[in-house]
Amino acid sequence: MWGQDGQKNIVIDFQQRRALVAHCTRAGTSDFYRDLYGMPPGTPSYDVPTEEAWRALPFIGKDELLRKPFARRLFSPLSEVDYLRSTTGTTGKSVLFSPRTDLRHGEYRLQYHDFKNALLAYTIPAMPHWHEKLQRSLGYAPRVVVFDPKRARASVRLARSAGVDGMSLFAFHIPLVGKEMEREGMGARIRFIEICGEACTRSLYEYMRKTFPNATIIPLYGSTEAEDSPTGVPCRAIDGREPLALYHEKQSQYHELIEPETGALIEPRAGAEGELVVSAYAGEPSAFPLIRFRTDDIVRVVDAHCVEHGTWSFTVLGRTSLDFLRVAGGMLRADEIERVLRQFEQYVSDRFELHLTEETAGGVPKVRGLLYVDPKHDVDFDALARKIESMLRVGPSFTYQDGVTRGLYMPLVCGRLANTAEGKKQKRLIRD
Amino acid sequence: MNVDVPLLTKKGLNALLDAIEPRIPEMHCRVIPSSFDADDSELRAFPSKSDWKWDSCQKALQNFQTRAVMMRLPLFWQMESPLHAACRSVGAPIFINEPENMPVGAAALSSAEVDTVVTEAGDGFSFSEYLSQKNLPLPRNWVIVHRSDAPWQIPAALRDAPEIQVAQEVHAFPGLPILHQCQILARKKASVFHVSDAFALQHDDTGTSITSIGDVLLSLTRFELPFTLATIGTCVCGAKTVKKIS
Repeated sequence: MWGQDGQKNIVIDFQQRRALVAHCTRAGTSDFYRDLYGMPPGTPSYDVPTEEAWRALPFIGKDELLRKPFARRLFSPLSEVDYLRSTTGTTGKSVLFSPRTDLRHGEYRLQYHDFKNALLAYTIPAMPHWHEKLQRSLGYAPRVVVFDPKRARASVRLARSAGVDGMSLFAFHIPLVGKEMEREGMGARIRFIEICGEACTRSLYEYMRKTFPNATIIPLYGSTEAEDSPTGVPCRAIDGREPLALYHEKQSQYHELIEPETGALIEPRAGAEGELVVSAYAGEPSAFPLIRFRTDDIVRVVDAHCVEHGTWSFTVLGRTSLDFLRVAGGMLRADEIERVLRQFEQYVSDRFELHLTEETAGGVPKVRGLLYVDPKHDVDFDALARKIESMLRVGPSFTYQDGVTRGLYMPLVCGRLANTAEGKKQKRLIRD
Repeated sequence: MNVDVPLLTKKGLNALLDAIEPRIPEMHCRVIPSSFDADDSELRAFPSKSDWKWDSCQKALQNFQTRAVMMRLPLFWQMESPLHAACRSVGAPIFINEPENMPVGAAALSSAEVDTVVTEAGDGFSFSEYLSQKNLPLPRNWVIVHRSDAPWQIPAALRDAPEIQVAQEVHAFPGLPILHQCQILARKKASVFHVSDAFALQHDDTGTSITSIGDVLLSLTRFELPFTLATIGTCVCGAKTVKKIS
């Protein structure tokens, strides 16, 4: 499973993609792609003889995955599925469950850390047992302390005792863990940090540099739907150079760039921006090979041809559309903001734009919500902000105001929404 | 067992764990919390062998003929890896559902083939009630972990439904099973247990204590339990049965 040869990236070439389509459309397997490509029962596997034919294949997205029941999406028996991932279920859309077998092609991580000692890890980006499998494969005892974000102090207490010197967590966990590790006096012991989830901001980077001075920091970019995680392999450690998180595709994947509105292909030249489309197949066993999956993520090409990795490198700019933003303590959801604004309908409409920024206070990066609203007449934005933050739920029994009180967030700021076309629906969440 | 050996109290255990803590990184072991309460200022790391297997849970999954497992135990209990190993041994995928996120847990039961829930007793009440309120069917199989310091009860909705299978066990602290049920006891859905093979039980006028048996990193000798057990008989499986009397 794991190699240490450090070989250059070899992405899926055209013949491999052709074989992948044939493999996923053979008779007797899941009918997901056969139905998607409109193949009548009994027909042989689908053939894509040319790049043109490949480009004519339809994209898939979360909606297509949700339309097919879980059991009918499986390309391997359930007994061979190692674990299930799910989307959060807080957006109002159905929860999508993605089956996964063994994660493979993670040897790039060994350039940055030896994994000899205990690791503090959440269940994302990788399951604790996966980290342990890596440790075993390297001849070390499997030692992972699972991070429980709701019980950070207890988790860090165990991490200190276990001799943790590396972490694999969501980016937004870092200030929480950092605070507890400072309390335990163990920041200098951390030699490796792997972060995923949100883009690493400059203030988060500076916080990590200060709190964990000896850590090599790497980003990880993945998506729930991609069994062959991660989608983006770091081109280099985060070392202060911009863009902070720079990725290239994994050797078992093929990436395309498209115009999100039209689906037209974009040439991956330096500076080009578009939505990332992923095809991913790490070989057998595979519970769900991915062919032309739209990630909803907008990326910018940094190098058209990364000399070291032989493919284009990119940085992730954000989502094409967002229903929620993760923050410490829970999520800021568009439908929840709408609900709260409706409580003040005599003052504001339910149109809004929420920008989430990060500010450093007391040496710790904290999020600040900037909520731009559409006032019906003159309003006291400060008083409105105080009322909204007391009602805005971030978790089932946790408001934005609770987060301010606990020192997780800066107070909410309200302002006037820029004019848009009359009546135009505008409900946006933006992480600046 | 030499009854002259003093009882190991919680305080004594803490002192033992404090003394051993500096050596834990060199012990190449896993750690589990010595308390169920994450906010307990006396929470310590208890060393456990890195290849420890959750045999009682594995047997329950085997008996259930489990298809897919949802873990709703708090993450800080450090049970993901042992439960994953138990799942692999019976060919079932694992799905981690944090106890706070019941809507996703409910969705996993209806749309991801999950038929077995492994959780703590308190959450068993909350989650089954949540499902009932939503008019959703309860999963067929449950592994319920009781805290040693809490009442050992299961929800009536699980106890009274003949189609639902429940295997109960009691942990001294998270990840340290001391009592479990065989298939026969599980069927009865009562608070009657077998003592784990990893421990010997002692009853005397001071109460009930346990002593580790076999190859463990940190042996417990006459560790005082927060309850009193009585041996009540022998099960059809051949093992002695015990019940909490206070």
